Amino acid sequence: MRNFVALTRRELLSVYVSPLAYGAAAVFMFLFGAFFVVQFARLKLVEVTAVVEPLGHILPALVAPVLTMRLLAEERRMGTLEMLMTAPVGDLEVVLAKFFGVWIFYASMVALTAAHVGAMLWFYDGSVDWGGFAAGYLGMLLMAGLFLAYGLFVSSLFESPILAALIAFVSGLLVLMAGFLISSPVLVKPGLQQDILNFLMPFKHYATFLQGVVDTRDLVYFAASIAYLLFLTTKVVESRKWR
Amino acid sequence: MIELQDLTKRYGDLTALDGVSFKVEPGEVVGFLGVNGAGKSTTLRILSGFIPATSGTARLAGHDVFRDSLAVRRSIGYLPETVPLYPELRVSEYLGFRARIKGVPGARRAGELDRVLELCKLGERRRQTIGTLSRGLRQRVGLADALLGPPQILLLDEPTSGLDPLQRLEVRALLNACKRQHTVLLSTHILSEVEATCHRVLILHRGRLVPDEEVARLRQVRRFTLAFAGPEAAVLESLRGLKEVERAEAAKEPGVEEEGEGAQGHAELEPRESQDPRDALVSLFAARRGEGWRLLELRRRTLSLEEIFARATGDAEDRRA
Repeated sequence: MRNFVALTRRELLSVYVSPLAYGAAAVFMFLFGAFFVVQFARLKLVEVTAVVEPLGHILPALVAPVLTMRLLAEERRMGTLEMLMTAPVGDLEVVLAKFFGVWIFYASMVALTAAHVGAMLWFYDGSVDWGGFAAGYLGMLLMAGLFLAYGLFVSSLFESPILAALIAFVSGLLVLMAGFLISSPVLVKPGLQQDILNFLMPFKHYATFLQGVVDTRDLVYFAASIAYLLFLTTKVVESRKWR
Repeated sequence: MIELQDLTKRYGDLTALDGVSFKVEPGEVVGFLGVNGAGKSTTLRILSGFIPATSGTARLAGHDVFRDSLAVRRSIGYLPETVPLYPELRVSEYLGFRARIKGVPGARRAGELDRVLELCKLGERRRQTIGTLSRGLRQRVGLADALLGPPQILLLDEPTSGLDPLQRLEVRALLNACKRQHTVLLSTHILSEVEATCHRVLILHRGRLVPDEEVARLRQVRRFTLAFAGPEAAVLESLRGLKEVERAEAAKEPGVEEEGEGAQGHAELEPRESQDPRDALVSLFAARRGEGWRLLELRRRTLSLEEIFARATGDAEDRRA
């Protein structure tokens, strides 16, 4: 546990002095602003959670690969992984610390969106469904966690950060698009197959949160997928020992 | 303190280490010598727990490297050859992080940082970002890191590579200063470094250890160098005729002017078995005094580490062929 705290602290130290992270944060805020304006005009404030919807899919799909690409690929390329792994720390601790470090950074970017939301609420005179709002933000953070865990996993496979970012980005986008298509009743005949596919894809689970519903099934889905990806990442890091 | 038994490492078809066994006693400083690619880094990586061996065992501070990796890693300070550091952190941030994950308790951490910064003369650099440090300073940060703890065992992979001569001297002084506290295994291909710092030398060649007896035997070998006046060819001829002499070769003494007052010749003698040819030499020159032969200088010397190394690795090559 003490190791985990120290490792996470190190990740945060590195990310908060990284120009790349601030670049990603700037892109994030710009895109969020653009989406916000469009949604705001379209929805005319009917549904508050819909305004923050892109925070959960397209934004992390774009930004997460940039934040995660260096986490393990760079450590391997620079050889700092050797320093890390010859210190008395476990592989799992390292992977968890990297994940939580970057997740915390992501959450701090999301915190900045409070400005937009605050401005919106300033002009809004209906009653706000705070519970629904919180559910939307929770779902969005879980989505981001999934993308970050996936990006971390891809980063563990490569030595080149750019390659890791590219692959995480393209494959993440494909999954996202597949999720959109599958959930459409026009393209896929409703039935068991669609239900199964929908259950596997993250998009539908996120949609539940956006409706203001926190369902255990969705929580389990996110927790399990993130845990599984982190488990795979740990195995990849460990794999140097059996190659 | 360090014990290797029949350690072997294969990367696919390539055998990097081939049945290496040796022991390092507590408090010993052992130099690990070999050309690039001899298997030094592989050995140190296995000992530090970064990669596993294909077969064989290794124990450090009483713990098995493979079964009890965490306990081993708690008792070592390891400096990889490339000194990988996080360029975006400050020296103190980096070392603070390393002290934490190495389990230096909070109450002792600040003092421990001061100690290693002081030892490595990094006090003024503690606020500097690692990315802006010179190669020599980075090396010192890596060393400071390895010294944190302090660990029982230091594993240093070419701690002076890439440094200028002055920095190399500094690192050497540093190593000498921390000799008493740690058991040290350091790899290098710079022979003078081993002579300056180590109690003992292990020579690794193509994944195999040159046996200690072989190195000890080579250390016993004596050479005689002499300077003389007289016709060089004739003198060498007579030297070769002596029964105590196995081989005699003309040698060049660097930096000595070869002109004027009767050209001076130099020769190097390899004695037959371990005989001392000095009496015979003196009488030889005395007998030919009339012909202008003079023995100007006679010196007995041991083989330099370079020669031992060249012969040990050369012999290993011959045996293989």
